[in-house]
Amino acid sequence: MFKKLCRIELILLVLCVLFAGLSAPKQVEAADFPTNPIQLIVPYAPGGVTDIVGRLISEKSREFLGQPMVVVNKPGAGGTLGTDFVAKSAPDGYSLGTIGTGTFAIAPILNPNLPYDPVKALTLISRLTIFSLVIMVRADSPLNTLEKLVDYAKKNPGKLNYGSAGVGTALHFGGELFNRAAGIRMVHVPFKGTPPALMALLGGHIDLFFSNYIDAVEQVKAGKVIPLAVTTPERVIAIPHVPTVAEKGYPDAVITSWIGITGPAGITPLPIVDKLSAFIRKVLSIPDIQKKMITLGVTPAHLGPKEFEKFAKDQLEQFRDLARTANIKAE
Amino acid sequence: MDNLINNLYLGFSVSLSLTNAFYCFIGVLIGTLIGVLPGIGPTATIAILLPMTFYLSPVTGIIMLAGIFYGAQYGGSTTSILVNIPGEVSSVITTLDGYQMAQQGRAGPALGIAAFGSFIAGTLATFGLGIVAPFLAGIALKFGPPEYATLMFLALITATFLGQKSMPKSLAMVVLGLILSTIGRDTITGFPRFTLGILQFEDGLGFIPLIMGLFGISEVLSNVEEKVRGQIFATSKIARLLPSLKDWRRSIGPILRGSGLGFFLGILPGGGGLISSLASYIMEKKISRTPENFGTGMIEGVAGPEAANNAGAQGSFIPLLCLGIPCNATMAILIGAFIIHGVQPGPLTMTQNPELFWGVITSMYTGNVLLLILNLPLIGIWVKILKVPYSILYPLILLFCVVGAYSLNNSIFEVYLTVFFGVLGYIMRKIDYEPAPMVLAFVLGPLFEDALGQALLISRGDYRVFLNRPLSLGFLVAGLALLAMSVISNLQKFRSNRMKKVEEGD
Repeated sequence: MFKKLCRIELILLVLCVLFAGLSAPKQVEAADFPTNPIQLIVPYAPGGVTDIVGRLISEKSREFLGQPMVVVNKPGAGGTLGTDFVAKSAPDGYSLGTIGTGTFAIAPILNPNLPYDPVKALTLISRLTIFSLVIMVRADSPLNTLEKLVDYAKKNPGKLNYGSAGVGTALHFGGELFNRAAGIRMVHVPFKGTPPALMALLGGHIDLFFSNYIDAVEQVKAGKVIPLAVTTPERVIAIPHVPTVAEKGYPDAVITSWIGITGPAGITPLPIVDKLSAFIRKVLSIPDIQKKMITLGVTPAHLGPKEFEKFAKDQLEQFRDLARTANIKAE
Repeated sequence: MDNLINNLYLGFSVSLSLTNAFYCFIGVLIGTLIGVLPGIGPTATIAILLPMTFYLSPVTGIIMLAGIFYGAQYGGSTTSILVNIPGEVSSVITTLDGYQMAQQGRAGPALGIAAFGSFIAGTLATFGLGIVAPFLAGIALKFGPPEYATLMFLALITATFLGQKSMPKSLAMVVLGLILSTIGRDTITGFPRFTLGILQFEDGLGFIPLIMGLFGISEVLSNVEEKVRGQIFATSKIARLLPSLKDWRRSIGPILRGSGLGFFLGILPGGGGLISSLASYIMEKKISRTPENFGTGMIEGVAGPEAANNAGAQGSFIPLLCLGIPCNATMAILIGAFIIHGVQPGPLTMTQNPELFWGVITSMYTGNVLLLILNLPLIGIWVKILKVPYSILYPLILLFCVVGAYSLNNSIFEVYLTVFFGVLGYIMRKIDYEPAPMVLAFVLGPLFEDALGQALLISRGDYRVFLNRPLSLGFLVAGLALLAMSVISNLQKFRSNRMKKVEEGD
C-alpha cells in the first residue's frame, strides 16, 4: 500500500513537471507583458562593447518592466550565429537580441549564404547607441594630424599600413571608406580582434589604426595614441577636441557604428514592440546610464522602431555600396 | 626597491582586508571547482558571475574574478592528472606525464607537485610582476608580426618532439593539426575555408571540444573497451599522498626554470599559457639525462609545465594591467568587468589607481596561498575518486564533458564536435598515434599563419623582414637548429642501426 502511494506520487510529480515545462506563455495581453523573464541574446563573447551596453540596459528591466532580462552570450561567426538564433525564436517578445553594424549591415555582404535575411527576418525594436571609429596614430608618430597623414599618403602611395580587427569588420570598412574619400591608398593589415592590433600600433609595427573608441579610451587618456579624427557626423563627447572627418573635408568618410535591440520578425501582439521601445528610451534617459555610456565612447541615441528600420536599411545600402567599390566581398 | 616595498604594503593592505580576502577565497574556490570540471572553463564562469560582481566594489569584484581565473588553472591540472582530460588549454601538457603517474599509483605526488610547483611559480611571478611589470610590457610591444611568426615556427618544431613514439607519426599529427586549424574564416583574406557552408565552422573548430574529445572521451571509450574484454581499470595501490624528498629534488629545478620561462612567455598575447607549458616540457626533456622516459610518468614533466602555466597565467595580467590590452578571451572579459565597474585598466592605472593595481597583484599572491591551503587536503579526496568503480566514474566524466561542451557557446553543435573527436581519438589510439602534437599544431597553426601574413603585408612581400630583426632571426635560427639537431641524431641512429645489422649479418 505504501509502495503504491509512492508510485502514484511519483507519477503525479512527473506530470506536474511536464505541465510546468509545457506551459509556455502563449498569447499574452500586451498590457501584461512581460510575465516571464526576457532573454537578451548577445551574439558576442562577454566583455565587448555590445555585451556591456546590453548588460547596462538589461539591468534596469526588473525595475521598469517588472521582470528580469537575462543576457545570454551566443558568440560565433562574427555575431551571425546568435542573431540567427534570435531570428528563428518565437515572436512573443521574450527572445530579444542585440543587433549592430556587423550583424545587420555587413553580414549579408560577407556571407551570401547567411541563414537570416536581416530585413525580412528581424523586427528592429530600438536603436540604443551610435559610436564612432577613431583614426589614431602612435603618440610619437610624425603624422600627428590628419592633414599630415593624407599628405604623406598621397606622396607615398601604398606605403602606410593601417590595422583593423579583421577583414569585413566595421573598422576595415571605415579604413577603406577613408581611402576612397581621401583618394589615398593605405594597405590594410588585418588582425584577429582589436587587442593584437592595438599592441601592434603601440609597438610601431603598423602606422595607424581605425578603432572603436571604447577599445582605446585608456590609451588616449594616457597619451600613448593620438586620435586624429572621428568618423561620426558629430564629434565624440568624450574627446571633444578631435574633429570629425567631415569637418576635415572628407564627408564621404563618415561612418557610424550602432547597436540596437531586435527580435524575430512578426512579434505579436504588436504593442509589445512599442512597450519595449518605451522601456529602452526610458533607460537611455537615465543620467547615470548616459554618463557610463559616454565614458565608454558610445552615444545614447534612441530611435523608435520605424525610424530605426529606415536608419538600418540606409546603413545596409551604404555598406553594400562601399563593398562594391572597395572590392570587399565574400569570395 | 623602497618604492616597491611601499607599493606592496599598499597592495596587501587592500587585498588582505576581510572583504577582499573573503571574496578572493570564494573566487579561488569556484575557480578550482570549475577547473576540475572538464570543459567548463574560467571564461564561461567569469561571464556567468559577472552580474554578481555589480554589487561589489570594483577592487573586490576584480579580485574575485581574478581568483576564479587562476583557481581554474590549478583545477585544470587535477583532471589532467586524474582522468587525462585537460581542464584548461594549458593543462594539455600535464596529461602527458601526469596521467601516467596516476596510472602508476603516483597520483598523489603528481597532484602535490603540481600544487606546490604552481604555488612557487605563482609567488615568484607575483614578485616578478611587481618589479618588472612596466618593463616587460614594453618588451611585449616590441614583438611584432615577424617575431610572432618565427616564434610560432620554433614552437611548431618543438611540438614534434612531444611525441613519445615514432617521429614520422608525430610529424603526421602536426600536419593534421595544421590542416584542421585552417577550417574557418582566414584572418588575412577573410575567405571562409573548409567551412562547407556550415555557419558554426566560420570561427574554426572549437579547441575545447577538440581536447575533450581527443583526450577525455577517447580515453573513456578505450577504457570501457578494456572492461568489456574483462580487464579491470587498474588503480594500483596509491603509494603515497605527497611528493617524497626524491621527488622534490628532481622537481625543484624544473619548477624554477618553468616559472621563469612561463612568466616571460605569458606576456605574449595569444597563447601564453599553452606555449609556456610546452616550452617548459621540451626544455626539461632536453636537459634531462633520460629524455626517453618522458611520457611514462616523469615528475619533471609535471612540475615544470605546471609551474610554467601558472607563472604564465599571472604574466598574462601584465598587458592587461599595464597597457589595458587583454591577451586572451578571459582577460577580455575581465576588462569588461573593469569597465562595468567604472574602471578602465590602462597605462595610467598604475599611477592613478595604485590601490587597484597593487591590490590585484598582491591578491594573486594571497590567492596562491589560499589555493595551496585549499588543494593540499583535497589531494587525498581526489585520489580516492580514482578508487570509485569505473562504471560509475565514466558516465560522470561523459556527463561533464557534454555539459562542458554545451556551456561554451550554449550550442549543441559543440557537443557533436566533441563526440566526433572522441571517436577520432579512439581510432587514433588504436593505430598508435598521439594527440598531443596535433593539438599543439592546431593551436599554433593559426597564430603562425596570421603572423606570417601580417608580417608579409607590412613588409610588402619582402621575406628579409624575418632576417633583419634580431629577435625574429634568433627564433628562426633556433628553430632550424633544433630541426637540424633532430635530423642529425636520427641519421646517426639510422647509421648505427645499419652498422649493427651489418655486424650481425656477418
